[in-house]
Amino acid sequence: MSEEEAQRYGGSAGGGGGGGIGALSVDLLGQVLDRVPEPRDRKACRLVSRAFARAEAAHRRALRVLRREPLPRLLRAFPALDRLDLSACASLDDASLAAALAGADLGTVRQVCLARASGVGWRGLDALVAACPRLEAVDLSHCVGAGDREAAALAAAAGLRELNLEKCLGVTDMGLAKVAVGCPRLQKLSFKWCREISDIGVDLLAKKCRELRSLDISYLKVSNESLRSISTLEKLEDLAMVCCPCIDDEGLKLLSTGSNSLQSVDVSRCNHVTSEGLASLIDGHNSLQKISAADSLHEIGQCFLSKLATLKATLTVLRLDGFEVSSSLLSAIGESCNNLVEIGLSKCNGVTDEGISSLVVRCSYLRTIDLTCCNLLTNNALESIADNCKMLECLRLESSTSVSEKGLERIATCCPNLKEIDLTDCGVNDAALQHLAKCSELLILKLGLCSSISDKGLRFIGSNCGKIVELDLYRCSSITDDGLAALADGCKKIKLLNLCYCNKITDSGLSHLGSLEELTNLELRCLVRITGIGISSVAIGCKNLIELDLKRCYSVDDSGLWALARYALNLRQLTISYCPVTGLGLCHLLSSLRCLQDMKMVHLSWVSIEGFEMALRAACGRLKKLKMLSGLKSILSPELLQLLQACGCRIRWVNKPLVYKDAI
Amino acid sequence: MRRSSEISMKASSSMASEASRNTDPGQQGVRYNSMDLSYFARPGQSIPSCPPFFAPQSSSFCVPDESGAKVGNPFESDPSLNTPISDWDPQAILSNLTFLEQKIKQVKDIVQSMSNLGSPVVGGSCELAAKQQLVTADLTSIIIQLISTAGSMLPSMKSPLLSSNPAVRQLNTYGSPMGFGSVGNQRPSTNREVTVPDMTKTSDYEELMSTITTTHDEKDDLIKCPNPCGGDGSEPIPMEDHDVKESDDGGEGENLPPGSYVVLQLEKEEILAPHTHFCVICGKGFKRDANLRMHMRGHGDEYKTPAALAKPTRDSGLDHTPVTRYSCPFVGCKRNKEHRKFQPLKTILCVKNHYKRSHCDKSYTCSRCNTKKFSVIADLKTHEKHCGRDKWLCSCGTTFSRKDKLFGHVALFQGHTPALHMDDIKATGASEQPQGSEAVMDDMVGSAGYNFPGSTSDGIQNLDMKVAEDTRGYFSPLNFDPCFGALDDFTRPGFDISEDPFSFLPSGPGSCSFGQPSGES
Repeated sequence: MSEEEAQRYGGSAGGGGGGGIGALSVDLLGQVLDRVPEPRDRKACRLVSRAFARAEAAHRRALRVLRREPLPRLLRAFPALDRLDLSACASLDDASLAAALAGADLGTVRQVCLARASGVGWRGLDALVAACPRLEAVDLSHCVGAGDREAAALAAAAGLRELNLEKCLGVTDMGLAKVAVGCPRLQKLSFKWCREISDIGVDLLAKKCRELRSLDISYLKVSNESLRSISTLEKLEDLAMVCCPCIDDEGLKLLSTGSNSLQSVDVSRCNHVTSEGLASLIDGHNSLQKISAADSLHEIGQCFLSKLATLKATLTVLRLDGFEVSSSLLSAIGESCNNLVEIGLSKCNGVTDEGISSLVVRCSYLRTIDLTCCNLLTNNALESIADNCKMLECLRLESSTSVSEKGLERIATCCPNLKEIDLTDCGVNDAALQHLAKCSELLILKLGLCSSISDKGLRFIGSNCGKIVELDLYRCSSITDDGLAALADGCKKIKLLNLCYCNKITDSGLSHLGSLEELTNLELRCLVRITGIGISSVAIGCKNLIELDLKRCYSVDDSGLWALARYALNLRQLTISYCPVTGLGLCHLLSSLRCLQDMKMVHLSWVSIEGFEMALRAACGRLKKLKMLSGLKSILSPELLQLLQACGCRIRWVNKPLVYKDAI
Repeated sequence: MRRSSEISMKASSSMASEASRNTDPGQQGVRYNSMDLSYFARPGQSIPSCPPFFAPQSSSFCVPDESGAKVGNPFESDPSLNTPISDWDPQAILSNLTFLEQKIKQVKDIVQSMSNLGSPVVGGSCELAAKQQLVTADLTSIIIQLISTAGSMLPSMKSPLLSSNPAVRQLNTYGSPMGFGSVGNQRPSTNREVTVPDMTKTSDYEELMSTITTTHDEKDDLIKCPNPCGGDGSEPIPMEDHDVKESDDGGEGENLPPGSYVVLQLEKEEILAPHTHFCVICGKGFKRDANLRMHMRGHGDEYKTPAALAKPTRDSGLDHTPVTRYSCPFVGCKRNKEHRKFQPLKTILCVKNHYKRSHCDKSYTCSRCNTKKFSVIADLKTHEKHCGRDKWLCSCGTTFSRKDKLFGHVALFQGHTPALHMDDIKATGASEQPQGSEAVMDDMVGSAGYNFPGSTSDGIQNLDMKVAEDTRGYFSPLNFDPCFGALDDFTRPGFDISEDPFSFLPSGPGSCSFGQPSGES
C-alpha cells in the first residue's frame, strides 16, 4: 500500500487514466473512493488513473506506513490525514520521525498509533506533538522502553482524549501526573502493566481528569485507595482492573459509592475479590452492561446471583471463566439475565448439557458462547444452543471431545450468522466440515488437532466459505497438496493460516498458497518436504506476508532465504530455527528485508560465526527481537551485542540440545 | 538540690582557677588560685562558704541542656525557703567574707601587675590576655560568693519581689558559670574595683539588691564595650519587629495574659554557652547534669552513693509554682519582653534555639548541598537526613521531600505539574555539559529544526529520493559482491525497488554490482 509501489505501477500504467474520469471533480472522485472499502481496490483505482491518485491524495484520511524511508514524502503527499499508523513502520526512530514531521503539514491529524514503535522516544514524541496541533489519540502501547519522559512529551498535547500507555514499563507516578495535568480532557486512558504507578498517581489522575470515561489499571499494584479516588470520577463507564492483587471487596464497596455511571467492569484474576464485593458494586452501579470476573470469584454466592437479577435489563456480557458452575447456577443466570449477548464459561467445572440448556432457553440473544474446555458437553448442548440462539456468531468448543457432526449440523443449519467456531481438539471429521460449510459467513475456523480431517473436508470449506480469514489446521496431518489447492481456490481472503505438522504437504501445495494474496501469517512448522522452491512460490505470491514460521523445515535451504529476501518485502517475523541454511543466505536475508524485526534462529548448524556476525551487523538497526542459542553469546563479538542492544534489540538466549524430531 | 548547687558553684571557681593555671603558669596569682582550688575542692570537707540559701539562685544558673522546662521557677521548689532564720550562721558568713577579702586582694594584685607592665610588648599580649581572663574569672567568682552570702542573710525573700525586678534577675544570671569563657574574653579588664557591699551594714534585702543593681549598671557604663551583638541592651537599638516564624520555639498559641507568668531573661553568653554543668574537681564541663554525676564517680567513692547519683528530685508543690516564661535578650525581637507584642518563649531550650536561629550566624553548612546553612546543629542533622535524596520538584520550583506531598501540591494548584529530572537538566543546560549523544540530539531537536545531519537517508535534504543510500555504512570494510553476484539466480521483479537491498555496502565504482537494477533481467 505504500506510495512508492504506487509509483512503480504508475510508471508502467502511465497515461491509462484521463478521459472521462479526469473530467470529474476531485470531490466527486473522493466520494467514489470513500465508497470503495477494500484497500486493494482503492490502490487499483489509484494506479490506473492520475485523477483518482490526485483525489486520493486530497481525501485520504488514514495512512499506515510500513517503511521509514518514504515517510517524509508520504506525509507531504496526503495533507488531509486524520489517522496515522506508524506501528509497523520498520526501524522508525526519533531522528527519522522528527525529520519526516518537519516538512509535513499535519494540522488535521488526530490519531497516531505508535504501538510497538520502540525506537521512538521522547524526542520523537516532542516533535510529533509539536507537529500535530489537533492530536486527540495516541497509542504508545508496548513501547516497553517508554517512561516518564515520553509521558511528559505526550502531556504537551493538551487536547488529548485517548491515550494508551499499556506496557510502557518505565512510566511511574510522575509520568502519569504529567499526563494528568497536561491533558485534562482525557476520556480514555490505559496504563495497564505500568507497575510503577501507585495510588497517589491514580488519585491525582482522578482529581485532574474529570472527563475520564474509560480507565484500565490492570496488573497494577494499586490498592483500594485507588478505587476510592476512581469512584469520584462521575463519567467513568469502563473500568478494567485485571489482576490487581491488592484490590478486594472493600475497594469494590468504595467504588459503588461513586456516581452510577459504570457500564463495564473487569475484575478478572483479582484474587481477593469475591462475589460479595461484586454484589456491592452492582448495588451502586445498576446499569452495568459487562461484568468480567474470570478466575477471581472464589465461588459464586447467592448474593451475587440475586444482585444480577437487578441488572436484568442492561447486562449483556458476563464472563465467569474458571469457576465451579452447577446447572442450577446456570439456570439462575439464565433467569436473571435475559438480555445476555455474550457468556464466557471457559474452563468452568461442572458445565453440563442440562445447565447449558437451562441457560440458553432464557437467553435467546446470545451471540458469543465460550465453552472452551467444558469437556462434559455433548451434542445435546449444541442442539439446545442451536434451537435457542439463532443469532449465534461465535462458538468456542475447544477440547469438547464428545461433540460430533450431528450437533454441528444442527448449529450450522440453525445459526446462519456463525462467524467463528473453534473446534480445536474436538476430533471432528470431514462430515462435520461438510455441515459447517453451510455457514457462508464463517470468518474464523479452528480445526487444530483434528487429525481425521482430510482433503475432502477442505474441499467442502473451499467450496462455500469464501470469507474465511483465519484457518487453523495445526496437526491435521491427513491434509495433502490437493486439499490446499481446493482451499486456495475457494478461500481467497485467508490472512492467517496454520499448517504446522501437516507433513504431507509439499512444494506443489505451497504453490497453490501463492494465490492467497491477502495472506499475512503463515505457519509451516515441521513441513519436512517443502524446499526453497515452495517458499519462493509463497514469497512471490503472498505479497503481504508479515509472519512466517519455518521451524524444523529440514529441506528449506538458502534458496528459500534468497526468495524471501527478494520478494517477501513486508516480512516482519521469521522463524528459521533448525533449517539447513548457511551464513550467506542469512546475510542476504537480513540485509535485504527492511521490515524484519523479529528473528528466531536457534540451531542453525550450517551458519558460521562469521555468518552470524555479518548477518546481524547488516540488520542491526532494524531487529527488535532475536532468539539465538546461548552458546553464541560468548562467541559473538561484544561490540556487535552492544550495538544490537543500543539499537533496542532484545536477545533471548536459549539453551536446548539439538534434536532432530521426525514429523508428528 | 543543694548538693548540685554546691557543685556548680564550686565548679565555677575551680573552672576559673583551672583556666588561669593553664594559661598563665608563672604568675603569682596562680598560686593563690591553686590554693583556692584546694580549699574548695577538698572532698568531704564541710564547706562553710556555701550557705544553704545559695541553692535557689544557683539552680537557675544550671540551665539543663535538654530539660529546660523542668527548671521552672527555682525559688518555689526548694524546701530551704521555709527554713527558719535560726539557720543563719554568722560563722559561715564570716569565713565567706574573709575569703572574699582575700580574693579581692588577689585581683587587686594582678591588676596592679598588669598596669605595671605598661604598654603591651610584642610577646606580652598573650600574657596580658591570660591575666585579663584571670581577673574576670576571679571577679565573677567574687560576685557569686557575694550574692550567695547575701542571700543566706535573707531567708525570707520573696520570689515575686525578685522576679519583678528584671535587673536583679539579669545580674543573678550574669555571673553564672555559663557565661564564663565568653564574658571573660570579651571584657577588657579595666582598672576598676568591684564594689563589695558591706554585709554587716546591709540588713535589708532590697537595699542590697539595689546596690547590686547599681553595680551592674556601673559596670555597663564603665565597660563601654563595643559589642556588635547588642545583646546587652546597652546600645540604642531601634525597636523593630523582628517577626521570625518559629513555631517550634514554643509560646505560640498559648495566650497567657501578661502578668500571669514570670519572665526570665538569660544573657546571650549564657544562652550560647556550650556547657552548663561543671565538675568542681577538674572543671570539666557537661551539657547534662546526669553526665556530670556519672563523671563525678571517678573522683571518689563519696560520689558513688545512691544519694549522690540520684537525680535531683523536684519537690511537690507544683500547684503554687508560678508559670515561668522566657524573654529573648535581643532588643527589638518579638520574643523580647520590651516588644509591644511580646510573645514569651516557653522553655530554656526554646530560648536557646530561638536565639541561635534568629540572632546568630548560621555556621553549620550542609556538606551535601553546600547551600543550606543552619545555626542549630539539630536542624542541620534533620536537613541532612533528607538532603539530596529524592527531591520531588514541582514546575513552580518548590521541592518536596516526599512524593505524596508533591502530588498534593500539584492537585491543589492549577497548572502546576511535577518536574522530571530532565527538566532541571534542560533548565541548567547552559552550565552543564551535554551528556553524550542524547544531549546533543536534544539540542538539535530544539534548535536545528529536526535536521539530523548524517543520521539517515530520509532527512529533508534527501527528500528528492535520489539518494537512496543508507549512509550508516554498516559493514563498510566488507565486500562480498563476488559471492552474491554468483548466487543471485533469481530474476529481479519487474518493478524496481527504490531502496537498494545492499545499501549497507559502499556503492563505490564497481564495488557491488548486485544492488544495481542492471543487466540480468
